[in-house]
Amino acid sequence: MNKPKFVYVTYIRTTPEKLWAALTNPQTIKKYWFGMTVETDFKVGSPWRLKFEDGRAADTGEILESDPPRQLVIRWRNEFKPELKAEGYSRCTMAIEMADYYPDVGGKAVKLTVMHELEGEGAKFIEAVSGGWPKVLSNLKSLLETGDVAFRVEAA
Amino acid sequence: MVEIAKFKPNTVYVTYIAATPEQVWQALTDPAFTRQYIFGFALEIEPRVGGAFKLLTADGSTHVKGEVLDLSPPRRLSCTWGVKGMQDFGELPDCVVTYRVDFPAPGASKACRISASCRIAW
Repeated sequence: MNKPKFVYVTYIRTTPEKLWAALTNPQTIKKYWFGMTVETDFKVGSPWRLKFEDGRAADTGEILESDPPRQLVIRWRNEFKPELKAEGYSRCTMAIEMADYYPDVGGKAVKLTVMHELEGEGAKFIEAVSGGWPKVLSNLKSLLETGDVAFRVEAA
Repeated sequence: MVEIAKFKPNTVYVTYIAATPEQVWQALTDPAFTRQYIFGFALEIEPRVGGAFKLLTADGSTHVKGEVLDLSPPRRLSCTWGVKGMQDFGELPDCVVTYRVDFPAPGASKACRISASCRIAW
């Protein structure tokens, strides 16, 4: 049987450089990742950490590949849900490329592919990220295209 | 009549958009709107279960032809899809495409969750 894998593709009206910046700038990440912050310098071999607003680690890992503005690969393990942490490390690949509908038809957009797979066995972690990624990436697309996220916060 | 139970989920795509369900429904079903984002293709739908469903290319030829299985504005649209006029797809049987619009999306009072699924019977 094939290992469960999450793949999500979205097309964004932006440039590869702006998308790369949005994927690596902690202040921007906080806007579209529901208040989460990222701690890393995005250099190969550096530790990577995704934190809740209160400072707790949600996920930790390491930067495996960093090729701006084309590809970012993170070794990634959940830290806050024991049943997900038990499944061990995953590998998340974010790939950026220019794309068209058919050659010379319909203009161009930036294609973002997010692929997430476990290094070992298990299905719960992939199931969890399958729910989360569409929300985060919809927020990211809306933010880059309109200046505001899809999950808008009500004005107080 | 299409035997829906024979069709199994093949692909599902989920996206969230800051819009009302009525806006999303219009975007899914209004030919003037679909021309703007489906690369000039117009969606034509007879608004009743059993009605005809078509996706027409910019020059008016039929690209996809099917039948309406469920039409519950602004929440649900399900149609059979048969791709026509493309050599590579000529031999494929119809699939079932379903759009579901959930509003408000869980955790977002101003966004819709839109899922598009394709089910196949082969």
